[in-house]
Amino acid sequence: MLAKRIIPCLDVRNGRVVKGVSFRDLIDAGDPAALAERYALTGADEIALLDITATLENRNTFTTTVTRVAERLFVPLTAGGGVRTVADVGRLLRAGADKVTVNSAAIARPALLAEAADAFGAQCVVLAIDAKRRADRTGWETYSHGGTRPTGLDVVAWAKQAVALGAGEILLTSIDADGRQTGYDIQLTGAVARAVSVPVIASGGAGSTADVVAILKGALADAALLASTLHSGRLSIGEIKAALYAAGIPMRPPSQEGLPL
Amino acid sequence: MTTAIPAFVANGRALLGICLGMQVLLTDGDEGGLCPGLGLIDGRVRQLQAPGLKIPHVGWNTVDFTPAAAPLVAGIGRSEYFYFVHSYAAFPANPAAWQGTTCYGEPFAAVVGSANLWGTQFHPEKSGRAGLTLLANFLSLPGGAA
Repeated sequence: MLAKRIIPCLDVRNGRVVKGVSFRDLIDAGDPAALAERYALTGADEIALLDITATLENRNTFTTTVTRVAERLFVPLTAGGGVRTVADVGRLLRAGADKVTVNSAAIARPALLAEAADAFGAQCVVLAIDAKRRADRTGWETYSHGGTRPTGLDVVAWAKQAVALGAGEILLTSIDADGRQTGYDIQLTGAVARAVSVPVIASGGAGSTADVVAILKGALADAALLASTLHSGRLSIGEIKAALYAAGIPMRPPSQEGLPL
Repeated sequence: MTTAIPAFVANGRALLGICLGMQVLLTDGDEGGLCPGLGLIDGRVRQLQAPGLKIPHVGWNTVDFTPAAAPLVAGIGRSEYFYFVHSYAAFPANPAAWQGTTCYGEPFAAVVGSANLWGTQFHPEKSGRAGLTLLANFLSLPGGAA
């Protein structure tokens, strides 16, 4: 039975991990390669690495970070942040990423998704959506540029369009819930998961094992992304997996042994 | 590739195909139109039929290995998970070549094998401890090490 995935997310700036509260108040939380390796050995099913500055100057630094992380990692690695072109996707895949997330550039030019899927396969093209609930509560609006700019795009419609173009997975972040540790946005995740035929990774809001159980139960999310809750040590992957097991949710048990290297 | 790989296998060297590298070992596949494979294992590659499930099949799943896979899976528990990411799957014609089965909508070959030739649909290099154990087992097979 396909297991639900637990994905620690490492936000990286200048080669170091930072953690965010609603995309603000960043605090340094360590070396990405060491942190990724520790998470993988304690049961992470995948690692996400996001370049949160993604200025042109930092691009080479981030590519080097992806390679440093990939060299020590034996679970899948998703990388992204500032990806603008098919060449950017290829650069991160060659650096050692298994999947690449695309966000603002796909909003500006949706054909990028089709081009990347044609070049490398839909399985490695992940559309990241930053979603914010509309003030009149009629749905959610897609935000670009790290969750700072409203685009007018309806989240569910954008997700459907992106999958039709070639996105193989959706990484869905609730701007409202992000960093608050009061639970994932279940309505948002459900609306997108019901609308698309590809896996949905829920992101933003994890504060307790119960939050993760709630978002991975049934046909909501296929994977749960966590950042600050893990980085702060408030939750461990072992605790989360134990809670999933107790709730009857299929999960991959953390290995009790190290790697046979 | 169409001559070097069959020649390598015919020389008795051990070969392990991974994911698409496994799929090309079969007779043919219909991804992007019917296309011939290397034909080293009789059978077809076609899209997974998984009504109501997400495609691609992405993530960690278990594998039911047959006794023939024993050399490859020594030291790996029956309930171990492996990492998959694919929309197409292999269906060997000869049951003996079908050495591991995973079910996602339908049963498909997670491991194929024939003498010194092996293939895994999952990615052992991305499957943590279980995957690295499988790779170490493969390298210790006759003809496995470089």
